[in-house]
Parts: sequence; C-alpha cells; structure tokens
Amino acid sequence: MSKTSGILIIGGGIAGIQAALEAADQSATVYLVERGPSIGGHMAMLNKTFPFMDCATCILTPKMAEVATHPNIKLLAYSELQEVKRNGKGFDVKVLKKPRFIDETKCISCGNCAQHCPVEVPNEFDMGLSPRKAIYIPFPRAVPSTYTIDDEHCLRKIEGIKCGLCERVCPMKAVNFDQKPEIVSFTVGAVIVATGFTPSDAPNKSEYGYGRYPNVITNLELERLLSDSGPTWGHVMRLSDGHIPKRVAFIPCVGIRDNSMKGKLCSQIYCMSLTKNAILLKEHIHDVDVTVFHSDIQDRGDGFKELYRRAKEEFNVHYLSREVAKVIEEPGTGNLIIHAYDTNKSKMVEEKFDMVVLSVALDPSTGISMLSKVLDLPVDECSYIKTNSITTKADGIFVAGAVHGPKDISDSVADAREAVAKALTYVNGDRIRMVEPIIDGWPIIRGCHAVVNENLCSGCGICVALCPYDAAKKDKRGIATVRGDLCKGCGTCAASCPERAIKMCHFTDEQIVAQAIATLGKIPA
Amino acid sequence: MRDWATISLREGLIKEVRELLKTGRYRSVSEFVSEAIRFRLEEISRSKGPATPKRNPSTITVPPRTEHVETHPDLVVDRLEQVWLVLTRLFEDMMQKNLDVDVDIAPKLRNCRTLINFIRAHTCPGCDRDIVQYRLQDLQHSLEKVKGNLVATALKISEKYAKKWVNLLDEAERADLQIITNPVHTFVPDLPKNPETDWVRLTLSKPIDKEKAQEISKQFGVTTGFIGDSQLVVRGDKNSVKNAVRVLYQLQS
Repeated sequence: MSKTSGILIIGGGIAGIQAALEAADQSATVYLVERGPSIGGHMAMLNKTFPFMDCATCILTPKMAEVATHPNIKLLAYSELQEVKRNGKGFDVKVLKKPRFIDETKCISCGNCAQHCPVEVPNEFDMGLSPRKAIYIPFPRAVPSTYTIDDEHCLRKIEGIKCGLCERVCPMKAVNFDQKPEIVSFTVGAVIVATGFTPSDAPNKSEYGYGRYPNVITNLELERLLSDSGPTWGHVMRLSDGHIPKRVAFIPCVGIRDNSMKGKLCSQIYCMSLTKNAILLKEHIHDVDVTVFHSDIQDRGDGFKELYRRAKEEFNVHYLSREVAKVIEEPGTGNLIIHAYDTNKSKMVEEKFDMVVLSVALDPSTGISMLSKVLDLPVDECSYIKTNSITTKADGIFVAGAVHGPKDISDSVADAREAVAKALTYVNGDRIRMVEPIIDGWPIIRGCHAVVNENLCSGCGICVALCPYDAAKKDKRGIATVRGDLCKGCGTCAASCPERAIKMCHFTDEQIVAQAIATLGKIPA
Repeated sequence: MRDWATISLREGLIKEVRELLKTGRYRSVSEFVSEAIRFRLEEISRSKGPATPKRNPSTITVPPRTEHVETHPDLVVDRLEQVWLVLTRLFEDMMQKNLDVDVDIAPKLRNCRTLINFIRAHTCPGCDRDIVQYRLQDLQHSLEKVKGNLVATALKISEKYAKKWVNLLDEAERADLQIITNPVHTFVPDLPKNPETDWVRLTLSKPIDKEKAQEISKQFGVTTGFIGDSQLVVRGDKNSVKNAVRVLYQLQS
C-alpha cells in the first residue's frame, strides 16, 4: 500500500469498531478516534439485541477486546478530532488527546484509586442510576480499561482543596495531575465517520413528566435496569421506592408524531426495541402487565414481525392504539395516571401504571456540528450528515451507522463493511491508471463524469457557480475544468452550459437517443 | 422462562452472609447461595464420593495439583482473578523496586481485567458458553504470558524472591488464596435524573457540623442529606453543587 493507506475512523461505537476491524484485517493502518474514555458506544449499554434476543455484550465485548490488541489498530480514546486537511489524495489529521491525569503506560486497572476516592457522582453509563467515583472507568468491560479523572468533579481540581487520595494510594504511581492535552498528528488516505446517535432530551416533552416523576423513565434507562451488569443487576424496580412494578406502560415515538419537537425523525428502531424490552420485562417479572400505547408499529426488518407476534401472543403484551396526552403522578404513591385518546372508541381514557417507559427520538451525536465543519460536510434538516448512501459530498470521506440517520445494529454493521470496502478502494485506486484518448477535444473513456471541451468553453463561469460539489473550476486561462475525483456526474454543469461545452460521459444526447431507439424501436417524438 | 425455588436458612447464617455482602464480593444472598451450591456440586463431582472438608490454606504441605475439569466459568474466573491479583501485586512490587519490566505488562494486565469482567458478566444461563470459553482461554493465555515475563524478571533479583511469588501464584491457581476485590457500586433510588440537576455523594474522613452544613446548603441553594456521619449527598443545580461541595468538604479540616 502507498504512504496514505491509513484510514481514520471517527467514533468507537459498533459501526466504528466493525469498520476498524474490517479495515485492519485488510492490512490497513487504522486510527480509531473515540471521544469518550472507552469504546463501545450505546451497544455496550444494551442487554439483548432484537429481533433474535442475542446477548449484546457477547457480540460486542470480544470485538472491543480485539480492537485493543489488534496490531494494525491505533486506538485514540478520550480524544477529539481537531483538524482534517486534504493533502493531495490523503488527509493530514490532528487529534487532541485529552488528559486522563493517569499515565496509561502504568495503570493496571487495579481500582485502588476509585476505592479511596471520596466523591461519587451519577454514572453516565448507567444513565445516572448508579454512582461512579470522580476517578473511574465507565463500565467494567471498558476498553481501554485505564482509569480517568473527571476534572469537573475531582476535588483536587477544585481550587483550594488538596485531596489527592488517589495519587497517594496508586501502587503504580500512575496518577499525574499535571498531565496536559496532547496533539497527535498523522496522515491517512480515507476517513470513515461513525459517530452514531444520542437520544433526544425527554424533558422537552414535559407533559409526560420525565425528570419530574421518578417512575417515568426512558427506554435506555430500562435497558440498564434489565441488564445483568446494570445498577440493579437485572432486577427491574421503580426508581422512587425500589418496588417491583406490576403495571408498566410504554409510550413510543415521543416527540416524533407531533410538532412540539421539530426536526425529529422516526427512530426506526424503538418499535422493536420496546417490543424486545416488553418481552424481557415479562421474563424478569412473571406477573407484570405490559401495555404499549402506539400509533403504528414499524416492523419492516428481518424477523421483526415474528418478534412482534411473539410479544402479543406468547407474552401477552397489550398493544393499544391510543394517543397519550399527558402523564400525572398520583400523590403519595408514585403511581402514574396516563390520560390518552382511544382512537378506536374516539374518547379520552385514563389508566393507572406503576412505571412509564418513554421511547424518545434519536438525534445525531452531540459533536456533529463541529465535526461537519471540520470535515466540510453538509448536514440535513435533522442535523444528520447529508449523504448519498454511505458516500459523501467529499471524496475519500465515508459514513457508517446512525451518523446519517437512525439505524439499528445490523444496518450499522452492514454500513461499516460497505464503508470500509469503499474506503479501501479509494485508498488503493491510484494503482489503476487510465489512458484517456481525446477525439475532437472530448475525452472518450471515463466514468460518469462531466468533461469540458476546451475549444468550445467561453469561460462564462456559470458551471463554476452552479456545481454543488465544487468540482468545476476555472484554470489560469479562464477556461472551465472539472475535477474528476470530485465530480459526481449530476449533470448540472452540462445542462447549464450556454456554449454546450460540457458533456456527461456516457450520457451524451446521442447516447440517450440511441438507448431510446434500442428500447422503443423508434425515435421518440 | 426461568424457574425459581425458595429455600429456608437459619437466621444466623443469613446474618453472616449479609455481613459478607458488605465487602462487595457478592451482590445478593441469592448469588452467594447459588455460588455455594455450585462449589459444593463441583466438589462432589470431582471427588466422586462424599465431600471432604476444604483444605486449610495455612497447611505447609501442599497437596499435588489434581487434573480436574472445572466446568462452570464462575469457578475458573474466580481462580484466575486471584492469579491476576497476585500478578498485579508482583508487578507493583517490581515497579517500586525500579526493575526493568517489559512496558507491555501494564496494558496486558488491563486487558486481563477487561476479560475477567466480561466473563463475570456472562455466566448467566442464557449466554453462549462457547464465547465465554474462548475468552477464558484468552485470559489463561494472557495471564500465562504475563506470569512468564514477570517471573523471569523476578529471577534476576534472586531465586528466593521469585520462589516466594511463584508459591503465591500456585496458591492462587489452586484457589487456596482469597484476596478481597473492590466493592461494586450500588443503585441509588430517588435521586434526580434531570440533566440540569446534579448530585454528589461525599465520603467524609471526619464528621462535620450538621447545622453548619445545612446553613451552607441554604446559602448555595442546594439540598443536603446525611447518610450516617460518614456520607453526605448534595443535590441541586450543577454549578451550585460544585461550589457547595468545595465549602462543605473544607468543613472537615
């Protein structure tokens, strides 16, 4: 491979991990950049995956461990992308490695530091349902399992307090409060963006009482409660009093089917995710009564219909066609009363539950706006990266997973594989050289790109102004040229050229007419 | 669907188990009882006869290692975790002695910790046993590599030093050693989940004046609650909590 054969993968969720392993197995040098202290993403938080109820950790953790030990993967966790500059066919990349205040070469993950740390704060990995120390690893199976000091909560980082207990008890002397951010520079041939999603803010739907009523939780919080390695070791309990819920309601599509949270897409995954969780709830609590208030159920994927059928018929989960108006807490008991509109009977109904689970919309990852600026990628109205399947406007930059729209795990993995195939083809493409014969000023063999006949071009610049991919430029002589590596063959320039100096390879007027004659047997009127 | 059974135990026994739960080694009485039963069944199946009393760890004469098959990953990972703990202590000791130890040992020990945690989380009946078995083999292989490397370095100091650690490792491998591991964090009911609010639980080294703490809480607009004399929970707006914690922590001095 040439010098720029490396691949930068941004995001360490399932899509990023899969892409890293696929590319590394093809002998490419992979730089995997993850913003958090550990790779794993949202999948690490899940208990089972739908529709086949496979153990999420069984699938993910071996992959995570492989990333940590793969000789072709350079893992840059707790790091953020600073700069990406196009350099010929490659990219010069600068990554900011944030200080963990722990020497990674010394930490052996013994946990003495966390045991002695006096500060406990909500654990983000458990959605705030369990505490973690100010010096922590996000979850026991984290990769890398190096401890990190949370400088927002560490007492030593607060002016005027000299705590430093972790420093005193660390047997490896790995704690270093003077550690500074570090810039890591390298060159790659292609970039794969796999930054995933983040759940929307449920508090924005205040009528459902999230944040006000402790027993109104989100689907991800329920995932943690159901997990054997979760805060309650798989025992589902009410957050207000620790009692086992006997009546649980699911409200899907929160913020999607009304205008209160504009710009939210159907998550496409939560219908099946909540069906899976409804089944798991039934398995965990045998006498629990589970009701799903829904408008419709998205069951388009492989095995989804069967899962839905099993939930209804085998596990007796009630699916009711009702629009939820509001949720109110019953004073003193922590029970919740759902006010809903029954669309079949056309009347308002009230029902009492012990726990309510909200399936909220999915947003792109929080750093997407900064990332889109760094990579010069456009975003759509929902702030997802605007793409044409997994390729982007920029050559050499590909996407995988939920960064360009909500996706489930299997789709994200498929995306990752496709992105790696495209990235490797792009990186190694310069091995193939094409000789372009020119006849009457027109190059005759090419891909589906625009070509300019220099003899006809008047240099008006209309194509330069209209090209959506910045592929058309004027050269020193004032004549238009089209960069083959940026041109996507949309045809805007050819259609707008007043001198008819631009043609689309394989889409000339003569060729289209010939195709029409071949198909219809005559010249179309 | 799981099947459950209720069993009866003397209150004295339950009390002892509950005391043990405080160390964090076990998460619930059920977990302890399940493991105890598994151990006993394994013991019976190994000896193929009536169970014999457990070996005394302080016995000087070490019985020869028997080649038995440990079927349940819980048992194997318990043993391997003890080996890992001894290896980390040996590594710590060597670093303190400024010995020239392979730089890859720390990441290898970290990876072993990840594998131990992975296997621990996957000894439930629904999980794929093959995946767990593969990871167990990985773990054994990695620990053997680290052990070989560290013992070779230990021999450079003296044979006596190396022998001391090899004996400890042998004890760990035979499950005759019990080093207590760090406790796990527990669920906290009824704490705010709203992203705009925050909470911090402080463990205090000295008791503080509770009235003064309440005054400070009012001053910063946060709520505080004591858990005994040694723990303090501060809740409220993110910045206010941070500022209040700074002042409250200094009340100890």
